[in-house]
Amino acid sequence: MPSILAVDDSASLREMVRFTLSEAGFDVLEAEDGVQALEVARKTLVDAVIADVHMPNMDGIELIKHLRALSGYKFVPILMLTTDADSNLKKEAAASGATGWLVKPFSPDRLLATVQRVLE
Amino acid sequence: MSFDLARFHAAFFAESAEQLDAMEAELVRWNPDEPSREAINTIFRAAHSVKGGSATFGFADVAGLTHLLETLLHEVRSDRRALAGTLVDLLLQSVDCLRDLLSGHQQGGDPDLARLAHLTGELEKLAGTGPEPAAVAAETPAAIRQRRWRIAFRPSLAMMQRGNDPFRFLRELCELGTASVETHLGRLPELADLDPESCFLDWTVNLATEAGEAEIREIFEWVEQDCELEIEDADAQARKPAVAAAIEQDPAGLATSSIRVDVDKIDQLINRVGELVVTESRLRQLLAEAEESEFSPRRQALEALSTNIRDLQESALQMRMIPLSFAFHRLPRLIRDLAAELGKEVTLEISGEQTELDKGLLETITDPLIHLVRNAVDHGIESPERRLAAGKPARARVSVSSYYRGGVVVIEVRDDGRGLDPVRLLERARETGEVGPEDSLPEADALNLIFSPGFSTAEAVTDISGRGVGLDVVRRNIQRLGGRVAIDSEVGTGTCFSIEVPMTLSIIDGQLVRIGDGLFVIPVLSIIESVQPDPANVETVAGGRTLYRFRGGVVPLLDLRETWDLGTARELEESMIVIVERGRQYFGLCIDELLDHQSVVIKSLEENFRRVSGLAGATVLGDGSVALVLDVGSLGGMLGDRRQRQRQPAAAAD
Repeated sequence: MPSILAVDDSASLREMVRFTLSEAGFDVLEAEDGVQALEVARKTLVDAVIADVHMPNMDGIELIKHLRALSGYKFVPILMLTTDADSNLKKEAAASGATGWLVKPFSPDRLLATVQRVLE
Repeated sequence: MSFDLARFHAAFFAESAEQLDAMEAELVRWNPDEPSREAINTIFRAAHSVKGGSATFGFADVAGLTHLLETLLHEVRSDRRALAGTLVDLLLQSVDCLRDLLSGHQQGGDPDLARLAHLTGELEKLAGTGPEPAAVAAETPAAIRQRRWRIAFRPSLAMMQRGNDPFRFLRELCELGTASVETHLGRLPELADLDPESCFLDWTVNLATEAGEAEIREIFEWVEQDCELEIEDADAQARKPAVAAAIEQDPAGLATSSIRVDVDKIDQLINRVGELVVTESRLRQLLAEAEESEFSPRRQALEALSTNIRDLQESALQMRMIPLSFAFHRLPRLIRDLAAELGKEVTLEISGEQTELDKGLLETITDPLIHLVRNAVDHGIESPERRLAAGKPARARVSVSSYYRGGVVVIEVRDDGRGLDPVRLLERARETGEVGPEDSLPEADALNLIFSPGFSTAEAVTDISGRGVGLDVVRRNIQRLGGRVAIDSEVGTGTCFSIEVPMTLSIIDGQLVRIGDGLFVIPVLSIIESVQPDPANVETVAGGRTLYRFRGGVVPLLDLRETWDLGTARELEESMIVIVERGRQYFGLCIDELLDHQSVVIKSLEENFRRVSGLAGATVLGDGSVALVLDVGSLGGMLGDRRQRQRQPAAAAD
């Protein structure tokens, strides 16, 4: 089963992502910020990453840059979680190597559809 | 906000059951000589709605069968097929079969797949003799409204290095309608310069679709800056305005036996009832102060009011209760998959799935429960060979059961696997430094080591449970709900985890007490007994701890006046002791005075102030004053901490 790394400082959001995706059969790993996420990514090559933009220690944009530099993560889909107002952030995320984004708030169905879209 | 997909499933199962009942009722009543359009519509809508839901939630077998029904019923509805004879029989059989499939998804159990295959065959045979569905589709107004688009898509060379696959966009375009794709090789360099990580191709897509430009553009939203995109309307001639599709008016919806209500509304109701309880206590107190006689009309009216309020409270709380089957129905599949993956043979036994629990609690308890079941299959149960060698049947048993005990719901996860060896746990704990090298622990405490952070005795970390989220998280999540998890295990025979959670979180039966100069509420459920201490039974042991002799044993005492500095400390003889239960352990709380016994509505401290260890929340009393609700679980933990420190003074640095 494909594995997904969910990175968010909000435990409830991680919970929702994890619940939705594991219900759909994905193997979900979690990290609370960019630093933790990088640690996980160095040890495990996941099939996709979902990361919040605003996080302590290392934010989502910084994380993407680091991930893309990591061997094995060049082509891995990385999705950013943003809010609608963050249109500049979307551009910044894309320029830093994000595959796409998911606008908060999102429904479990939408999350699942988006993840399936990039993993097809 | 926590999210639980299972709750959608629950709603879907409820809906489907209602739809199938309606369908069955109409079919049974059906008289071919007096056809009723209303009945046909009801039957069609039932099939249609079950199909929609099942496709959304991924119940492919249900979706497949209902799709066939829908096709046939569509013909009936447009008067191209008679609803009679074989078709009625087949529809009724389908209702049974769908119920069977749905209950398989909901509660586990094995649906009759042979029947499904047979029924599908019969229905297909019948449908095959009817008009070609594709021909029908071609006549729909939708076909007329299609437009043709020409889309030029030239990805940047680096697009793939951001995890975007150009083919995905092409595929999604093709899914919008009928498309032809031209590939352009103009950018391709000499072979020697060909970088396999770059995208040198670009494409033109001719697409006939109902979708508008915005929908097409949306597909490329992520790569707007990462590609060149041109979208042209290929047949720019003016078209006749599209005929508005006739909107089918659904006649009045089916009468249903349940309605869905926003949880917030229920919570509001529960809160209001809570306030009502407070007002009632206030009234009671006023009457008492006025020295109103027990038999005065006012007193009697108040008693009647109280009874009604209790009933109302119970009904309101009942609305949030849902049966545990919603958490249990995922287990059969989980066990099947896990067992197959691990090469183990496991039978799952489930009982008590009708036990009801507060919805929020149920959602939070589901994950820890699944974790425990995974653990049981992964770590608890041996391979069939090992089981045979140990003289056990090759097929292992995992049983999940639940029942009420007092005001709590108990959920047990029991396996007949290898069990936990307290000696090994202790060795392991010494290795990790959890326990000092010289310390020994009673067996029950050694078993509890399994709940320490980062603790695992699995020889190899498998990808089933060895994911770094251990039993410590399970325990923490359960404790956060005011519950607890206990373990019992015997080497070679098996392990049993039992989770205990309160049925509801918002209202408890409380004993009001005064401790120092503060008012506190002790949940009555955790109280064993209140005693006037006899000095002869008090013992002070090394480390300044005080023990009290009680029912042939000794229990540790916790004096919150000291711990929380609640006014002057008093001699034990002048206090009272409330013996409370935490798990299987008792301890005593020293208090100054026992006051009223009443139901209290717990208000969250976390939401209004912050989380305080030892307190479950606060409540407003009848006279408007505030009392803090003690959390016996975490108070006991405070004793535990102290014991820990005494046992290993060197490790106190943390």
